[in-house]
This record gives sequence, structure tokens and C-alpha cells, in this order.
Amino acid sequence: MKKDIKSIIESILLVAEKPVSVKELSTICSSMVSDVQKSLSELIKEYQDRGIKIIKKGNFYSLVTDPKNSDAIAKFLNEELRHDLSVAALETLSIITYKQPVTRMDIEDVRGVSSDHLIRNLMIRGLIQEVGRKEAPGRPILYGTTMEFLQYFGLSSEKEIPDFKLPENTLMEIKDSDNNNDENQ
Amino acid sequence: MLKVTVEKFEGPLDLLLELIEKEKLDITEISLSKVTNQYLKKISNLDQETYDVAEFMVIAGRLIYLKSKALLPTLETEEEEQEIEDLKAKLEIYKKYKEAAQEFSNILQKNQRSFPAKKPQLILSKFTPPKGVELSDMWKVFQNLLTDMPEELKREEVELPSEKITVEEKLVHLEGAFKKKKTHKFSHLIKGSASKLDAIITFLAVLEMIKCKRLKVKQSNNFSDIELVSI
Repeated sequence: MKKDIKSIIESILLVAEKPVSVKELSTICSSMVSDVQKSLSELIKEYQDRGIKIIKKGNFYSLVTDPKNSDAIAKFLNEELRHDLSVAALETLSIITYKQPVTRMDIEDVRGVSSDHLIRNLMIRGLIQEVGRKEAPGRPILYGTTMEFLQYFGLSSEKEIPDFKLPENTLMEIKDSDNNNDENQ
Repeated sequence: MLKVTVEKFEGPLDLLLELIEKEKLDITEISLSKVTNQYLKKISNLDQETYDVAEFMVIAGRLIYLKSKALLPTLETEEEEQEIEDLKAKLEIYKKYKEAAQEFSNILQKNQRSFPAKKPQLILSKFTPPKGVELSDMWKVFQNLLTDMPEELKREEVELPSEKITVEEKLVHLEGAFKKKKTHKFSHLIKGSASKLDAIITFLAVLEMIKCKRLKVKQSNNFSDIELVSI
């Protein structure tokens, strides 16, 4: 008899301390990645009208509360909902969101000012994380957003992040300045 | 001390964008040149503790170039033209991200956040020593550990000799030397030093004299001795 991997996945997501990857789930369930993905999509659909949601970032999944209920949850957890990210922090976060993976230099290139403390601050809040190193001189750290970032904004996947497109006439310039950065580092 | 800043901007690009948008202009060369005076005025009394002035100066330089180009059209150089193009592109890009940040802020205003499940603390972490290990064994291991602990290294205290000579004094000394003899080898000047610090001060004094155009420097080959000639 085929075991019910959907049920297993659901249970794992409940006790998981961190976002769980599809690969991890398929290993534990000894099932094909495609089966796991199918079960996950079904679960996401089933949770549509429930107080619990499964959110997705890349290949990672997490069980969270419905953002609609955040007021009640905040009250229950005694937490403050009002966000206190500065304009500068939001700017930095938007650059990381749409340009990730990015180096500190990339961010500072866009903002025109040093952004070290802002990056550190966003890291401490768990909204961004180190996602690797750039294969360039100095092997600078690359930053990207986290699952907590999606939770913080009440989004269920990266698809819900507002669209973003740079004006056409600036695309060439970005590339150029990126190359310059590499040489200067 | 409480500090109140009436105007708040994030950096040179932010300031420039703000000035352009206040005039309801698009990002073009003409609008950049229009806000140049305002920009220069703003940065002339910039709060140096809050802002890195150098970052503002780079942009100021480009704006001044635009201004001067209007007066002297022949001034145009490829490098500067590229810099202006870069600046325009950078402003466009920065503006986009700023708008995105505003959108982020709007989302956050809704106060709709999702929370992860609180993990149940069912499994108590407890100490499980291997079978046959008694309290006395643990005590022995602990004592061994204490005795084996390396002692804290005591660093020898070294008193740094305080050098009396300053670059200014060295300058006077060198001036004298060059008055006596027009040409000196750099290696000779350094060889006469009493200490490493003295050598460094001699080097600094030589640099200073070169900067003031009192010395000429000659070197016939790579790594060959440097000759200093007074002018």
C-alpha cells in the first residue's frame, strides 16, 4: 500500500524548526521529488481557507499562520506588529529583494552611500541572510532574503512580491558598473 | 545630546532625486544642471557627523562639470560624458528602488504578518552519560582538565622608547644637509637613522620636501638607488 506522504509532510512541517526543503522531505519519505511537490501543492490548496498556511520560498516550505489573523496572533503572543524599519532599511531591503544575490558593493552602488550597518541590522532581524560568496576577487559575501522576510510581509511565496522592472535605458549601465566593481575590489 | 535634523536624506543620490522631484522634473541633463546650485548650497552646510562628505563631493564634481559645459561647450570630454550618463542611470535606478521600498512600506502598513508554529518543547534535553561512568569518574576528568589547562600567557612588557624628533625638526635638519651638498642618495639619508622610527620620519620629511617642490627625485633603473637633488 502506498503510504500517505502528504500526511507525513504535513506533520514534518509542523515540528520543523526551520524551513524544510523538498529534497529533505523526499529523503525522509523515501519518495520522488515530484511526488513530494505534488503533495505540497495539494496541501497548499487544502489550506486555502484555513488559519494555517504553507508558504514557499524557492524549494523551501514552512507552516505559518494566516496573515489575516496577525492582529489576534500578535495580541496572543504579546508582540508589536507595527513595523519600525527605517526608509534607508527598506531601500536596502528592496535592493536585496530584487537584485539578489547581491554583494554589499552592489547595494552601495545603487544607494550611493555606505550601507554596512543597514545590512547588519537586516541580518539581525532575520530578513536577509548570507547566501554564498561571489566568485570575484575578495570573494565578497552574497546576500538574499529569507523565509522570515516572506512571513514579515505576510506573503505566501516570492511570486507575491510586487513586480519590479528597471527602466530599459539603465540596464546597460548597471552591467557596466558591475564590471567596474569587480575590478576595483 | 539630542540632535534634531530638520531635513533628512539618505545620501547624495537621495538628495539629488529629492531636489529634482521638488521641481517636478524628469531625470535629464537639463534638470540636473538646474538643481546644481541648490545641491551645492545644501552640501556647503552639510552635517559632517551624519554624512560622509566625500560621497557628496563626487556628485558635486559631476554637476559642476555639467554647469561648466554650458559655458564652455568645447570642454566636453568622453570620460565626463560617460559619468553624466552613469549618474542619470544611477538616479533612475535608485528612484525605482526607492519606489519599491515605498511599496514595501505600504505592505507593512497593513500589519499582516504570518507567524511560524511555536515548537513544542516535548523533548527535554538531558544528560545521558555512557554506561559505567560514575560521578567520581567525571570529577576526575574535570580535575585533570583543570590541571592540564594551559596557563595564561604573560606577555612581556616592553616600553616603547619615546622619540624626540619630529618631522618638522627633521625637515630643518635635511634642509641643512641639502644646503651643504646639492645631491644626496636616499639610502645614505636612511642609513644615518638612529632607529626605525627615525628612518620613517626621514622618509616622511623627504616626501614633504618633494611635495613642496624643494627636491627632485631621480632613479636610473628599477630598484637602483634614489637620488635626491635640491631645486
